[in-house]
Amino acid sequence: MKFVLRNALRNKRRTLLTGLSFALSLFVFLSALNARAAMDDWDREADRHHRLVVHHALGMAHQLPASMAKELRERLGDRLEGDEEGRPLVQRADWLRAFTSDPQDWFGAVAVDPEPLRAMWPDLLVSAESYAAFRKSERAVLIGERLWKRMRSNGYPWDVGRSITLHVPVFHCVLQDLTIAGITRSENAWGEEQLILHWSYLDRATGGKGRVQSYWLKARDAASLPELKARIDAEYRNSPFPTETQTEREYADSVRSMMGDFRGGISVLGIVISLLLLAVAGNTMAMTYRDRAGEVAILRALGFGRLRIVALFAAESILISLSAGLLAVGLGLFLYNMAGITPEPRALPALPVTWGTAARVLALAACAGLLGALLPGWGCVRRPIVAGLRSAD
Amino acid sequence: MVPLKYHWRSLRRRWAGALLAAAGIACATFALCLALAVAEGLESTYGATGHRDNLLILRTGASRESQSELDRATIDRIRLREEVVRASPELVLTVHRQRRGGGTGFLVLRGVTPEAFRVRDDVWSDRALRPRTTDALVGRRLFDRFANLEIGGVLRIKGVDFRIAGSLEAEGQLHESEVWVDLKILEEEFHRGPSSLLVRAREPASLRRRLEEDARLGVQVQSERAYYGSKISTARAIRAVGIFLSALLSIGALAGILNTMYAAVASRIRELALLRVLGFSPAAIQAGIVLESVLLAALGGGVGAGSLFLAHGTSLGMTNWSLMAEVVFPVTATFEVFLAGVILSILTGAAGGLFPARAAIRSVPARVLREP
Repeated sequence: MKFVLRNALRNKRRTLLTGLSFALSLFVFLSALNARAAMDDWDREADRHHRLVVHHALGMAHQLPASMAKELRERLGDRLEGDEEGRPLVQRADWLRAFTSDPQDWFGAVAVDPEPLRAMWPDLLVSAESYAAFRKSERAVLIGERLWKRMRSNGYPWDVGRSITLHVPVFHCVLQDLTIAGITRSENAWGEEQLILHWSYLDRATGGKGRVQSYWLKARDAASLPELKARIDAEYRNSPFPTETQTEREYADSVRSMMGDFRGGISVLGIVISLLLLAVAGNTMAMTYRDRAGEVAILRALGFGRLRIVALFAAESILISLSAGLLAVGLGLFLYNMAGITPEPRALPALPVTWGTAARVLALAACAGLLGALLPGWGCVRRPIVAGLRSAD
Repeated sequence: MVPLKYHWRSLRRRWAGALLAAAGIACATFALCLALAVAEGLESTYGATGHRDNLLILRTGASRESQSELDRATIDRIRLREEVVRASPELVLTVHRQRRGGGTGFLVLRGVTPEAFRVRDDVWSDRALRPRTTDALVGRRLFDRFANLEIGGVLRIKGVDFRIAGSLEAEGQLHESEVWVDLKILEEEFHRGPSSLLVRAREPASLRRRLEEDARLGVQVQSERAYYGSKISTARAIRAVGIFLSALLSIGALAGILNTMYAAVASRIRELALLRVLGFSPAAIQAGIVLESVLLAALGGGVGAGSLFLAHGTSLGMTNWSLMAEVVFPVTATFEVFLAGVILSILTGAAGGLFPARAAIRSVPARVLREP
């Protein structure tokens, strides 16, 4: 091991340049993996809470009547989980974009029925007082912690108890005198980027049309999900509002598929980076072999096997590449996990480095280091010993 | 100036290292060109859409056609003005549909009258859309994107079976990602009036002012070009991210070139000393080394940018969230994209040659020549 380390440090500049190159490229690779993971984040826990979403069969751009809530509760009550008061969990939800003063500083908001909120979304962490305050007044809103921090650092005076104004472009309405009831945290990053308001207030402000984008339901267990899906869709198929019901996982999948070819683009980037790493590693090792051709010949004359010699070089290469990998992961942990930096929080709320991501990055580093040493090494150790001794100039 | 042949030959002598260094540059360049070509494809699709003299009229407050609704009275009041040359009322809706190859997307339906073809210059179809029938024309780019969209097939929307009669061609405009059907049929099925009015005006600027001043109408007017132009913020973001990432990768590839050039210089220290003795100035030798490095990088850059031609024309699809619509566009590798890639590689090459060149000059000629 010491031998390997000392050899690596023989040409400090070369080792440093190679290491730097690796670290940068691996960091880009890490960022790409993270971006993809952030897009898939919802998927992680999508099955846990047995939730279903019902929307119009033609898509979320088309709306369902608000009266459906009552029908769903009555017809499916026995199959649905109940809240504290025993009422079946059915919740109206309208997802929208909103802003307070500057349209460029828009954020995501969701208008919901407040009563089922806590029971339907146990992954949403809100204190008892905040929740009570939210339920008490129709004009109360809850704000996700990430969104709150970001808006405050952008200069918006958002404190609990303050009143704010919300512009909702999609309904061309302005909601005045909304009070911040509390801050919510969530187990998944998306949940902390939302502002939650009362659906009934939004409905009144938009003329009481009684239309809603989607219904969320919570089933008692996973087994009843397929049956509930089939029942709801069959019920409304021939009505003026045909529905499409999806489990939360299916819904997350379809939202993800709408990202389209972006995810494919990230895969392409990953391949390009791998090739770059291989080229740099191969280049460095080729030069190293060339420099030490004389030593290789001597080692072979002494009786060291070909494989063993290549293994020594490979160890050196992997040492450099793994160190660079650790550096890249460290940088990623600092930037993404600690500082929480993300290029576009509204599309990708958080890019935390997970064990899986770190493992993949280090694996790529090790492979590139290994291959970079193997390929040129193959040619080097096969040369006749005499040629090697002669070339030691 | 040291003869070019010398530099070329020294590169060839260390061809393996040179190749690998060039390969690194090729990767970084490819990444940049790909990002730029994607952004270019998006921008040219949106940029090409719309006619200079067309105005798009929506209800006040709507940010896109599918959010707007105009009543017949308003439409007639605008349509019958004398400044209006042609007018096309249209209904735009999006429906959720299965994509070919898995996943779902928003399919754009546009209910039109024959006026829609007259108010636009570059949109045409091999089959005419017969009014009051359930014919549908599918945008050329959608065929491979969504399931069940072949000519002669049936597209079921709500209670209507639209028969796909032909394809819609629009010179690369956004309309090639839409399905056009008869306006009346769509209105009846969805119980809605038209969403927008597209007019060709003799003097668009003054008509626009006059319409906006009339508060009774309750409409917002913008040029068709401006409307579509405002929907492409993503292209800018892609370009920015692409440039940033490939800058990082270039630094990575730069290290590869530096290694190669340092090694090249180190092994030729005597040759370089000889050149000095022969009378070549330090500047000339330095320039020569930088040139070698640039040649190397340009080669790699050429390959990286050139391989983009493999991807040129590939159809990519994206959901445009400000339009709530699927947009299909081609990866567009223009000359500027290629040039940008080559420039990046040359800059990287120059940077990669600079420091080794300085190191080459610093070695004292006499002492080196004296060594065995």
